[in-house]
This record gives sequence, C-alpha cells and structure tokens, in this order.
Amino acid sequence: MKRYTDAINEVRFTPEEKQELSARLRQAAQSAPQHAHKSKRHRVRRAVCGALAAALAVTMLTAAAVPAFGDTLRAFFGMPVQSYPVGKSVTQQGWTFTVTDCLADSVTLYVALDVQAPEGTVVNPEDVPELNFDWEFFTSDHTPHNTFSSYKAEFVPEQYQGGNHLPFVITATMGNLKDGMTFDLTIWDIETSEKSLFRANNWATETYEPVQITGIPIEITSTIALADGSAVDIYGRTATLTDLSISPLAVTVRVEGGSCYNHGWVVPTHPEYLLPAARPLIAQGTLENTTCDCDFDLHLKYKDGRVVFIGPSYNDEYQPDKSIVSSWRAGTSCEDGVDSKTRQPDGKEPYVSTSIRFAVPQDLDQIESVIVCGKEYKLR
Amino acid sequence: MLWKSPDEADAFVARYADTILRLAMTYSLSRADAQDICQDVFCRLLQSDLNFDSPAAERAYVLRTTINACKDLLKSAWRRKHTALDHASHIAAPASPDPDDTLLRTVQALPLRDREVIHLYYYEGYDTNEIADLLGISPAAVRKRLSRARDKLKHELEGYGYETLY
Repeated sequence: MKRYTDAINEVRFTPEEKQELSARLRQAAQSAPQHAHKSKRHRVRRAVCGALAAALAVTMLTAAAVPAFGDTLRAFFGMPVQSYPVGKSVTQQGWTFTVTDCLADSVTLYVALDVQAPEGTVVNPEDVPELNFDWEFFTSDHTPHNTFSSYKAEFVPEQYQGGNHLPFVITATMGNLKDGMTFDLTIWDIETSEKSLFRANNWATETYEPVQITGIPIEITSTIALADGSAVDIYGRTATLTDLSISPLAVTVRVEGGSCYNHGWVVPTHPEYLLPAARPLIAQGTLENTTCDCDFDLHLKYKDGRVVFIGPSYNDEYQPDKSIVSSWRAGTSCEDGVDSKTRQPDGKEPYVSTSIRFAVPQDLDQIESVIVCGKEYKLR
Repeated sequence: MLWKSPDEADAFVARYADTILRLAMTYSLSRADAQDICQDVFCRLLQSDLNFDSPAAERAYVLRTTINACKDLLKSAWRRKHTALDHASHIAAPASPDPDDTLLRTVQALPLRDREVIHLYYYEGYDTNEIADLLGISPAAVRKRLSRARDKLKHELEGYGYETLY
C-alpha cells in the first residue's frame, strides 16, 4: 500500500492544464479591478449581514434564558421525556457549561448540555456548532468503566432562541451502564465551519485547560426484563434466550448456545433481512461468516393491535419502521464458536446479541409484547 | 516576495497549483473548483500588496486562503442543493481506483474535519499549533481531531501495517 504522501503526490495538474491555467490567471489578473469590485461588494454584504446578526443577537440576549430542566431533551425528541435532573455547572473564561438532565438505560445515554457563551457571542444556527468532547465512565466505587461506546453531540436548533445559550444533546451507545455509575465530561472546544467559538471569543489558548464537568450521575430508567431461559427458534434449530429487556429507549436481546454454534455457516433464519451480498452465497450453499448479521426477527406488539418490525436489518430494501427505530443502531455482537480460517471449534461460547435503539422514547404502558423469532414475550 | 504582475502567473502555477489541487481534493472538490481557487488566490495576492518576509509565510497565506475558499464553496447554496459533499465521483483525485491507494481512499472517507488536519499534519508538515492558526481552532481541538482520525485509520487499516503508512 502506498504511503499517504506518495499517493497525494500523484495528484497534480497535467502540463497542459497548467498551461491553460497560467493563461487564465494572467487574463483574470489583467481584469483585476473587476475582481476587486466584486470582492468589495461581497465584504459589504457580509458586513451588513454581520451587523444585522449582531443587532438581532443583542436584542435576543435579554430574551434568552437558561433552558429549564427537560426543555432541551423535549425539543430534541419533539415530545416530553422522563429524564432525571443533574444541574452540574462549570464556569471557565466567561463560559458556563451546564449538564441540565440525562436519560439512560443500560445501553443508551442522552445528555442535555446548555452552553452559555459570553454576552455578545453571535451564532449562526445554519452554521451548526459542533461540540468537541470526550468522557470517561466510572463504576460506583470509582473504578474506570472501560466500555465500548460510540457517541455524538448534536446542536438542538429547535431549542436555540437566538441568544448566547447553545443547547446540545450528547447521544451515546454504551455497554452495560448501571445505576450508581458516574461520568466525567471533558469539553475541548465548540467549532463552526469557520472557527472555534472559544477562540473567537477571547479564550486564552496559551493557558488552555479543557472544561471538565465531573461526577455526573447515571440513573437507569425503568427497564423490564423478559428473558426466561426459554428456547427460541433461530438458525434452523433453537438457542436459549438469556437476555430480553425493554426500556423506553431500547430493546436488548441475546441468545446463547444451541444453534448459535457455527451460525455463520448455516442458512440464516431471515436471509431477506441480510446484506444482498450474502444472497448468492446462500443460493450457492457456499456460506461464509459474512452471512452472520445477528439474525434476529424482532417485532413490537402494541396494545392497540399494531405489530411493528423493529429489525435488525442490514438490507436497505427491508427496513424497520423508522418512526420507531433509530437509524443509528445500538450495537450487535456474536461468537459462533468456530475459527474462521480452520473452521474448527475455537472454544468460545457461541451467542448472538443485539440492541435496537428507539428513535423517540416509547411508552411501555402502550406495548403488549416483544416478539423474538416468532415467539411472544408479554410485558405484563 | 511581493506578487505584483499578471506575468507572474506561470511562477504561481508552478509553485502552488498542485498544492491547491491537493488541498481541494481533501475537501472533495473538483479539478475545476481547484482552478477557480487558484485564480482567486492569485488575484488576491496581486491586489493585496502583501510582502511576505519568508517563503513559509507566503505558503501559509496561500493555504489559509485556499482553505477558506474551499469552505466557501462547500457552503454555497447551489452546492448544498446539488452535490453530496462526501461523494467522491467528481473529486480531484485520479479517477481510476488503484488497489495500492487504500490509505488515500480511507483518509478520504474520514469526516472532513479529520481529513483536513491529517492533510495539513502529514502532508504539509505543519505542527498542531500552526494548524490551529490555519484553521482558526484551538491547538487542543487539532490534537483531538488528529487523535480521533488516527484511531479511525488504525481501526480501518488493521492488518495493513498502519504504523508505516505515512
């Protein structure tokens, strides 16, 4: 494989292109006064826009208030949610950062963060600010909780009132969150496409210390466990259901043993949900581990009689209901107990596990049951 | 050096055209976009009366102006409506995929904010403080982006001998 610098060095204009470009530049430069005029007009327009924006910002500053508990997550989801209050604040160099509230279950976490910029800070909500952050989790005895996580922070334009309060929601997929855990949030910067908002507002970078909000508590929302150790039909035979839990935020399911063994090399239970690339392998009977995509068939049954496919699916043509299921998967994992090269047993316990994140929190009182590979598990 | 004559176009193209093309590629812009940016930067130099005290200062000015021009192009309303920003079919890179270019393609698949720091750090050779000045962000944010980009590349290129790639 080529080094990056070598590969980039091969990107160049041809001699003919360079000749044409030189001629074009010479011609453009000779008519430079026109360019200067254009550029000046552009600056004036930008200056007018800037002045208008500044005037608007000053007007709105008095109106903008710290979001009340729950407001940002409500705006984020477009509905009221039962988050828990946090109210931890740090002020640094004229900026105040407040984690107002959170919402969590064992595999998902939402954090509402209000950033109060110094007065006079102007933000163009179309040039979406991006929060540059990190975090670290701890168990209740303050041992670091090293867990896989994927996360992102989103500016919440619906909650932005035009002033210097910037509302963000951090969304994460975690592993094994529990009541009593805590996390420390480290904020490095807030950036727009053109600049760092910290830097543009006189943040002294010579003495730069990231912002840290520590000891933010985790409180797990109500979760209903449904696994009963029963057998589930999957991969042509059965495996044992060892986890099936549902919270307002996600469904998690795990089966172990039985037909999970060697499951990458058997015909999937639901090939229609899997990647189209797997189809010819299935048709030819030459299966590979690429056919394994944690092949559950999961549905939610609501009390009003609706039965909704929630996935998982890796096939663009066969997708779960996106009004209920987030397009951001909460994670899948498996072991088939077979070494992929030798196809001999590798001694690992075979299992298949997946979590499905809801697009918006679900009211568990409205859900009758979760259906796993055709078998119904009632919530009550 | 002071740029003062349209006749210096040849020298400008020889010195900066490929640099601008490579930076434009980092922003998924086309060869035609890169040519427009060359023209813009050259005209600015002629109009500005800037007299740089070193070639490095001049190069930094050209890069900073190019970065701003690339971002302006990406933000333009027409492009937002008509171009998928991360689609690479029209970008400045060679059209034919070379299996040897795995690293280049993997870098180009990174988010834009990661790509630009990778290019400026590993290709242009700037340090994190200089990149912070070029991009108008904090040095800590540059370091964070570099670290995030390296992690992603390491993950994507596992088994390719990642450590020796740059």
